[in-house]
Amino acid sequence: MTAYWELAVVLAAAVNPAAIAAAASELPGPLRTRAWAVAIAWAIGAGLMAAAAYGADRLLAGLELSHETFRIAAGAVLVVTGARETWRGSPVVIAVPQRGWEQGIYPLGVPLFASPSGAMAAVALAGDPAVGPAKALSAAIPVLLAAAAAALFARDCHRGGWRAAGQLVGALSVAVGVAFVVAGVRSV
Amino acid sequence: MLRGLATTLAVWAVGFAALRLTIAGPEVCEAPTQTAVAASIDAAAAWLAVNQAEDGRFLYEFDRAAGRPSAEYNEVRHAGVTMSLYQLAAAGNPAYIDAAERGLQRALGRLMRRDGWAAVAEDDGTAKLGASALLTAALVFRREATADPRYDALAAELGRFLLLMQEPNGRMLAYWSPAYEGPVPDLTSRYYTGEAFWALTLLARTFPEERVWLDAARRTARYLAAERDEAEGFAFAPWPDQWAAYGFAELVQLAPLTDAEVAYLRSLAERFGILVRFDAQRGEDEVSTLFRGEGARGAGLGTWVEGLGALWRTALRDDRLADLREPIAERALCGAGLLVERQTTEAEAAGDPRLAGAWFREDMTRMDDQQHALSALLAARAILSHPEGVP
Repeated sequence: MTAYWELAVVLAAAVNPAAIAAAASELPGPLRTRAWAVAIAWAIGAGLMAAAAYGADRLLAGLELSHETFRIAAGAVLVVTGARETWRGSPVVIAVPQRGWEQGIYPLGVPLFASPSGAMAAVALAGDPAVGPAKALSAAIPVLLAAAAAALFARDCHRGGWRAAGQLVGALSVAVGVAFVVAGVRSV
Repeated sequence: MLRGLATTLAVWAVGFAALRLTIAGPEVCEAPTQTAVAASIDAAAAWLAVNQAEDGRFLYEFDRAAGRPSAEYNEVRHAGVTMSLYQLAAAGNPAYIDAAERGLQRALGRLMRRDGWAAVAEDDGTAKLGASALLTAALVFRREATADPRYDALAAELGRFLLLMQEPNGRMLAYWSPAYEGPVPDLTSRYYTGEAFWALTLLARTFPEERVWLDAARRTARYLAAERDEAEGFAFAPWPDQWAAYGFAELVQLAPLTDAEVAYLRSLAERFGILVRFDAQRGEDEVSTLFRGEGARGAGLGTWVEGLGALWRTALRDDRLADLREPIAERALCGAGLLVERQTTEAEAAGDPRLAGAWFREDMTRMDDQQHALSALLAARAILSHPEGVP
């Protein structure tokens, strides 16, 4: 799992742009408010990805974990979040704020653009000596851009379609999670 | 916003804690120093020697809580312990060879001979393949340590017993019985096959002019790599067989391995690797014990490190495994570090020779805990002293 397209598929499954779009389609406010929210959320997500990728080695050392074992944990997170998205199509959000910048922080920023599955996948990939942080981050940025575009233009009338797509990507996340677990178990 | 954000972060914190307590617990192990390994080896060998009886029996099992040894004994494990002391001598430390000699004499007193072969007999007249295989290995290491060929003929006799127990596809039958006047049909052992394979490869290396040993070893090598796990019904293949790994470490010096054998060794390395990683996550505190169980016994952890050590030697010889040299060495040293850390020190033993140098789990130690840990630490010492060894 080291080719660029493989990394992009893994990160797309972890971030799930379709589930983000499905959740974004429920947010109140005009396009201008949404654009502001998406920009903030993208910055939060990209910041977390960059920190995860470039801090992977230090994080693993701090947690006293080999990247092989961390990959198993990341796989478990991908399986759980993927299963939830396969079931619902988008994450649960409560107490949605009205103002754009607030929506950018919650729910678009956290937990959608900056998600545990995305961060775990980024650390697992960047911590692999065969991948490294630059390659992992370069695969994550386009995924986050795609998620931003989907979130920006998602409308209430599209929600069903985005949910269905989110469910499919959720299933992909489960498959990727299982592959992570197997790869982690089968590493020396 | 704050409510949703706080709820989300709380869920994340709970998830992180759950991961930390289960599959993402810290892997606490450090590569030991050469000095620490040497001291640990010495203490393990001393436990075996000091607690040995006059008749050559080793202290089989000791219950620390009850302060009482077990009355049981096991001839396969006796041969294994004897072998490990000769292995130590062959590796350059002859200090405990007298204990090995006493162990050997006891095993020699239990030999039975038929039709040109010899085997270590049980009290009921049966013979277990494993005891004879490990005695063969012991004789080979004795020969290396002493340059004394006096038991060469016996090694060949034991080897012929191994051949008797081998089927044409390389499968090894586990028991010889007087009731059958031959091997008990269809009865195999998850341990003995690898032990016999290793013994055959050692004979092939020691007596290269006798082609029969290498041919037999190759048959069992093929069986181990291609058939054994499925044929013998191991649910989680591959069976983590350090004896097989030892055998392949010898075989690779005698003949090129097949692709299937290399694939098998790769899967073995993966299996040993996850076992050591998981054990490194087991702390001694109650929370860790509750979620991840107690650390493996000395024999368990020892066999994994032995397996990794043998695979590391194989990987040095076969470039198809070159990418595994560093991770295997790293994992083997991690396991060796755990062994050193978990061994009972002189101070903890407070002068009791049944405690010092032993590995206890749930207050019990058995002689193969010390045997496998000793052999494992010898493998770690080889890695530490090799220019390519330390990652």
